[in-house]
Amino acid sequence: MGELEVHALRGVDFSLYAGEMVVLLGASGSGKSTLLNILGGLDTPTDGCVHYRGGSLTQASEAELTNYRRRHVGFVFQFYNLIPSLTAEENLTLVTEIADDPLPARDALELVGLGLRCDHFPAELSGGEQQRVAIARAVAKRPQILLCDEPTGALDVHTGARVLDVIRRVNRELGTCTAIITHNVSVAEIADRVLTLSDGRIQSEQHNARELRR
Amino acid sequence: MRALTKKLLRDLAHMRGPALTIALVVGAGIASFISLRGSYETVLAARDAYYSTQRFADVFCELERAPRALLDEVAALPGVARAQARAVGTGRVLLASLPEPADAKVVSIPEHGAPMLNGFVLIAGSMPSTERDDEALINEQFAEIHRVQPGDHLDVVLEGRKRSLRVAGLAMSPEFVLSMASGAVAAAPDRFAVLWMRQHAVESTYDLAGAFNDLTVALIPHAQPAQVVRALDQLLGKYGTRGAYTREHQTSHRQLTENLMQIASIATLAPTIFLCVAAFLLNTALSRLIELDRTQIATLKALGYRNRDVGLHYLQLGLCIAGVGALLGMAFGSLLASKLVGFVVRFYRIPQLTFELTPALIIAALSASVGAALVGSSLAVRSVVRLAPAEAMRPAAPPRYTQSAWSRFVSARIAPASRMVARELSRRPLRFLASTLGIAVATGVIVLGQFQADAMKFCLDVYMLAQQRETMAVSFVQPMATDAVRSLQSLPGVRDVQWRAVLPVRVRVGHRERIVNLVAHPDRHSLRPLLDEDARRVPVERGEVIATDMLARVLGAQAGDTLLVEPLSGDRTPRPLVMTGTVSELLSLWIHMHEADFARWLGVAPMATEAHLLIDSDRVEAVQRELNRMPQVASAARKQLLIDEFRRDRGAIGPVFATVLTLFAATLALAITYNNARVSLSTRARELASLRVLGFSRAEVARVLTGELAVQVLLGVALGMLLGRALVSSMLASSELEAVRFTKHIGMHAYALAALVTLSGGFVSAQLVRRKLDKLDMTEALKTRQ
Repeated sequence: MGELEVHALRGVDFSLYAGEMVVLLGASGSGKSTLLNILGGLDTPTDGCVHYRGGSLTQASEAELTNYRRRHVGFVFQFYNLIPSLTAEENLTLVTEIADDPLPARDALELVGLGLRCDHFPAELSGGEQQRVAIARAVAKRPQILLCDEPTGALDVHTGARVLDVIRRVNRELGTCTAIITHNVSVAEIADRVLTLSDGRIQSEQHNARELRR
Repeated sequence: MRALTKKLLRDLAHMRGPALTIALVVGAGIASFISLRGSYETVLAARDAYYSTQRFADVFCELERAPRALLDEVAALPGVARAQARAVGTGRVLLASLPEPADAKVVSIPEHGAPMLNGFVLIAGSMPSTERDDEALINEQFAEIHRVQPGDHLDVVLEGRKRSLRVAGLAMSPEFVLSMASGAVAAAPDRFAVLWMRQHAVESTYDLAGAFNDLTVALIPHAQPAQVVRALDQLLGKYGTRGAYTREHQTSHRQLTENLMQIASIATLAPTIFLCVAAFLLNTALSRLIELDRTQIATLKALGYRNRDVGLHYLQLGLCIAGVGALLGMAFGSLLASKLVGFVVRFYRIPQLTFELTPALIIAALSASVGAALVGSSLAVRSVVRLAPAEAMRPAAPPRYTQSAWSRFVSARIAPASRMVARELSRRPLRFLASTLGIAVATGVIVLGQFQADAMKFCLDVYMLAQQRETMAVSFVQPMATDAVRSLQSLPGVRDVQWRAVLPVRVRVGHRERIVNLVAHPDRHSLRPLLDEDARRVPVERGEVIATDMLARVLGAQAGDTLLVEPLSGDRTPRPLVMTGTVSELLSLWIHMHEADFARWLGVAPMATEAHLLIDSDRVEAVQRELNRMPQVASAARKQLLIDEFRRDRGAIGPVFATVLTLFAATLALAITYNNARVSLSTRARELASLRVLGFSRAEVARVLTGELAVQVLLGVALGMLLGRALVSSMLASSELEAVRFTKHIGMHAYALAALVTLSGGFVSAQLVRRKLDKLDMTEALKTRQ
C-alpha cells in the first residue's frame, strides 16, 4: 500500500493580534492541532506561509524556530507535559533559566494561585493544579503568544472553568495574545474572536461583542 | 543548580537499578584494565629500571674453560661494549628445613668493587671479605624462605667437598628475578640458592685459576645481537662453549617476559569485552528512557531548548553512569592490582615493586569509559536530536508487528502468552541478538576463567603425574654408560631403573634457530613416556625424529625437512637430522629420537644423562642419601617436590584470576538480564497491566515477561559455551609461549559453572523484576499516556 497524502489544513488565512484572546474551535480531525503546532513553530507547513512580526516562520531554520519558541511562545498542553522529576517551581525555572526577561518563578505560580505548592512534584498535584503550573510555566517567560492545546480537555467542568479563569487573567494582566484550541463550544465564551475549523478550513469567524477589547 | 541538572540527577536516582548494574559492568572492565595493565606496567617499569641500574647483560655464554686473556678479544668483537668474565659453579646447600639439598649456583664477583655487568643490590650485611674464601652473599629470597641471616653459617657441598660458608650479606640480582637454574622450566625459590663469592674463592674451588667459564656481554646501541652471538660462538668454539644466547633466552628473563605477555594479553581482552557490553547496555537503557521520555523531550524543545541542549542532557546521563563505573573500577582495580603485585613479588624479586595508580593509567581508564559511554549513548541520543517536537507531542504509534506464514503456523500452535513472547522477540531482533550475545559473553568469560585454573590442574594432576611416573629423577655430572646406570638397580628398595640422554643442542633451519634439548629414548621408557597435550602416549620408534610442534612452527619446519643440529657439549660439529614428525607437548621445546639412532648419529656408545627410579616408599630417603653420596650424581629430586614447586609457582595465580573473572562475569550476566527485564517491563507496563485487567493472574503476566528473559538466557548460555571455547583459543593464540603451553582441555565443570552462574543471574533478575511487576498499579499503568 502506498503512502496517502493527507492535507490537515487547506487555505487557512487569518491573523492574530497583540493582546487578543482567540479560540480555535473544531471537532477532532479538523486540523486545529496542526494549526497550533505551526503557529508555535513546532511544525512547518508544506505549503503557504506564516509571518510573525514581519519575519517568516516558514522560511526559518530549525535554530530560528527554536529561538522563536524560546523568546516568544508559551505552550499549554492538554496533558500538561510537566517534567515529573522536577517540582512545580523547578518546572518553571526550566523556562526562566533560558528566557531573556522572565517573571520570577514564584510570582508566576502566585499568578495562577499556586504560590504555596512550589515544592510539590507533579505527581503530588491534582490535574487542575498541574495544568495551572503548566500555564505558569508558559507565561513565566512573558511570551508574546500563549498557545493552549485543549487546556481543559483532561479536566472536569469545575476545574476546567478555574483553569480558563487563570488563562483569561494572564491574558488581561500581561496582555499576551492567547490562542486556545478546543472542541468544547463553551470555552468559546471567553474569547474575543472565535474561529471555527472544519475539514482543514476556517468555516466561520465570530467576534464576541461583550468580550471585545478592554 | 540548573533545573536540567536536577532532572538529570533525579532521573539517575529513578533508574538507579539499571544504572548501577551498568556502572558495575563498566567498573568490572576498568578494574580488570587497571589491575592487569597496571600490574603489567608496574612490573615492566620496575624490571627495566632494575636491569638498567644493575647493568643486566645483553648476551650470555657458558663454556667449559677459557683463559682470562681471551676477554680482550671478546671485548674487541664488533658490537660489544663491555665483556665480563666470571667463574661459575654449581653446588648444593644442606639445610635442616629441606629433605634434600637445595641446588646452588656459585657466581664469582670481582676482588674489589661491584661487578661490571649483572650487578646486585646488597639488601643486608656486607660484601664478602677479600681476605677470606669462606664468605658469600646469598640471594635474599632463599634466605627469606629459610630464615638465613647475615652472620649465619651454611653447610654446602662444592665440587663434592662439604664446606661451611659464612653468610656475609643478602643480595638480589636481575639475573635471578625468578630463582631458576639455567634451563629450568619453573622457578624454585626454596630449592635454588645463588651464592656470590669473591673471584679467588670461586676460582680455587672450581680449579679455574686464571680462567673463566661464564661470559656476560653488554652491547653497544643498535648492535646486531645475532652477529655478536655468532662471533662469540666462533671465538669460543674451542673452549667448550655451550652456545652464546641473547637476553631473550636468559632463563629468568624469558620466564618473566612470558608471564608478563600472558598478563598483557588478558589485560586487553577482558576490558574490551566488558566495555563493549557496557556500551550495549547503556544503549538499551538510554533508548528505553528516551522512548518513555518522548513527551518530556518534546516539551523541552517546545519550551525553546535546543537539540544540542536536550541531546547533551541524555549524553550526560550516559557519561555519569560510566563515570561512576570508572571510579568504582579504579578503586577496586587499584586494590586488585596491589594484591596482584603483592602476589607476584613472591616470585619476581624486583626492588621497588609496588603498584601505583599512575596518571597515564587514570587517563587511559577514563578515556576508555568515556569512549564506551559515548559509543553506547550516541545512537540513543541521535534519536533525541532527530525527534521533531510536534511529532513527540503525539503518543508514539503502536509498535508494528508482522506475521509471516511461518510465524502464523507457529502462533497457531502455542499459547497466547508464548505468542506475545515470540512476537516481542522477533520485533526487536537486533536487541534480542545483542542481549543473547552479551549473555554468551558472560558465559564465555567464566569458561575462560575456569579454563585457566583447570589448565594448571590438568598440567599438574594429569600431565605431570602421567609424564613423570618415577619416584626420583637423578641427573649425572657427566654422561654415563647405560650399563653403569643399570647398576643403580642394586640399591636396596629400587624396583626399576630407566634412563635417557638429554643433549642440549642448537637447532637451525635457514636463518631461524633455537637452543633446545634433544632427548634419546631407550626401548623401555615407561617412567618418562612421551605424551601429547591430551596426555596420550606417543611411542618413539627407531628411525623417527619427532619435534614439538611449537618448535617446528618456530623454525618453520615440516616433516621431511632437514634440521641442522649442533650439539652444545662434546663434539660440537653440526650435523643434519631429518624431522619425521611432530608432537603437541605441553612443556618445553624438545626433539625426540630413539636411543640407538641417537648413538649412531653422534657416533658414540649408548649413554644416559639422567635416570628415573621407582623406589619402595619406605626406602626413598635411604636411596636419596645413597645417591647424594655418589660423586657422579649432580642431583636427585623427588617428583612430589617438583610438582609442589610447580603448583606454587604457576598454579596459585590461576584460581585468583578465575575467581575475579567469574565475579566480573556474574556482574555482566546480572546486568544484562536485569536491564533487559527492566526495559521490557517499563516499555510494556501498559500492555501487561491490560492483561491483568483482562483477568490474567500475576504469575501468568510474569510468564510473558520472564519468558523473553528465559529464551535469551538459555540461548545465550548455549552460545556462551561455544564462545568460551573460542575465547580460550584466542587467549592461547595471543599469549602463546614457547616453553610452556596450556592444554586446550576445558573441563565439564567449567561449562557447568558458567551455565550455573549465568542462569542464576537470569533467575535473580527475573525475581527482581517480578517484585516490580507485582507492585504494578493496574489503573495507574492504564492512565499513563502511550
